Amino acid sequence: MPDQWDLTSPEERHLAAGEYVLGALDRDQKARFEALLAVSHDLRNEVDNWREHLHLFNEQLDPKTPPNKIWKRIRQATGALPLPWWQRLATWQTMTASFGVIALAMGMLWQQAEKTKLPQGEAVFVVQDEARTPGWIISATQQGDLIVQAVQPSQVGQNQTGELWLIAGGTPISLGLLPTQGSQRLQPNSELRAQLFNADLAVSIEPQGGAPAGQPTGPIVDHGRFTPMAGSSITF
Amino acid sequence: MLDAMQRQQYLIEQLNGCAQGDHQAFERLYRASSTHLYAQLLRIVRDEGAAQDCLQHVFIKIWHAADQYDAMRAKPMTWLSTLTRNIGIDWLRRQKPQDASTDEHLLEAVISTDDPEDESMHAQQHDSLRDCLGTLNSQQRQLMEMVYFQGLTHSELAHTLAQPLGSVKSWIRRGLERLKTCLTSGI
Repeated sequence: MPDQWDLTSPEERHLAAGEYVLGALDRDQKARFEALLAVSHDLRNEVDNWREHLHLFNEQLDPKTPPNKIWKRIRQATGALPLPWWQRLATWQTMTASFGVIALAMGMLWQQAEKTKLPQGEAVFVVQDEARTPGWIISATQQGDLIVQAVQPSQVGQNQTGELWLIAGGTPISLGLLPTQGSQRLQPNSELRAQLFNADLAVSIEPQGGAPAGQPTGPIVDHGRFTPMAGSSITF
Repeated sequence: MLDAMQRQQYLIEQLNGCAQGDHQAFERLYRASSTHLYAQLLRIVRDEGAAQDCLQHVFIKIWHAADQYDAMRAKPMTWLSTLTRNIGIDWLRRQKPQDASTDEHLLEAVISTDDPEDESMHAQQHDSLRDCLGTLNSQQRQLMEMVYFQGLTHSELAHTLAQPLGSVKSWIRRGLERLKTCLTSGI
């Protein structure tokens, strides 16, 4: 009946607005109607009124509570819920480059000097707890070996271990477990060595033996990047 | 208990809060409206999983579009429901065409009546606006709900019911006119 559809008639327009809001108009009619709607203030008012009228169909429905997980997903998608820590690392990168951290690192190295051999690495990442107490000093050699020296890993409880992660494209990959005392050498594979000096790092607390499923499960102790030692030959 | 006006004002305040990036307002809006919008989506998509996905989509959209809400043009629930219905119908349209056999009972009801207009009215007097749905006979109401909740256009409805397009259009129009008359004059 498109030929009978005369939108110049107020009565026809009025009903067409109702059909439009109800959703009954076929594609061509809908397009014609919307073209008119775009330029007619009165027609927009008609549509608004019909929306209120036809809302009756929604009001008759009994409310139903959605599962709680939906709100959680919405919060995460809209930024109201923090992302997992390894997805937030990008915003933290600058923190580890601060002078304070480096100064503290050098201070600790100095204090440790009598007890332990100074790291011979080219770059260093000092893992600190919330009170800024160093838990480990991790130094990297030019070849990408990691020498980990335990200082005061206070957050590691019984039957737990610290685990070092490299964040590649938002995904944490384990670089190995950290000692609770003494020092240890970690030897990442060549693929990880190539990313070592340009990637975010993090340390989490895991059950003894390391994260069971290959992804961090416990609390994050610290995060950051390697900082080159003065005179280092590594290009960051 | 909030009365209707207070509830409306509450929702408007939360929408305004969302427009300013207030996450707490967003949560309050969710608590106050999600049960209604979820019911609406269940009616449209008729699948819990899909309704939940759509509800998530709806609220993400609300969060980003709250600044477009204009209280002069729509009541808050009407605006939220319009947005919800659009997302639900879009989801339906991406699915397979519906199986017409599910509407067989309706088909029988419609074609067994030469003119649905002759059906007796359910109610003549109405205490509230909601009762205006009662002024529609059952066929009119079912047809209009098929359009409103299933996203069927005139042609699709005519095809589904194997009825002439002109008949379907006039049934729907009479339903709209009746609803409008009731809502504006209480008759």
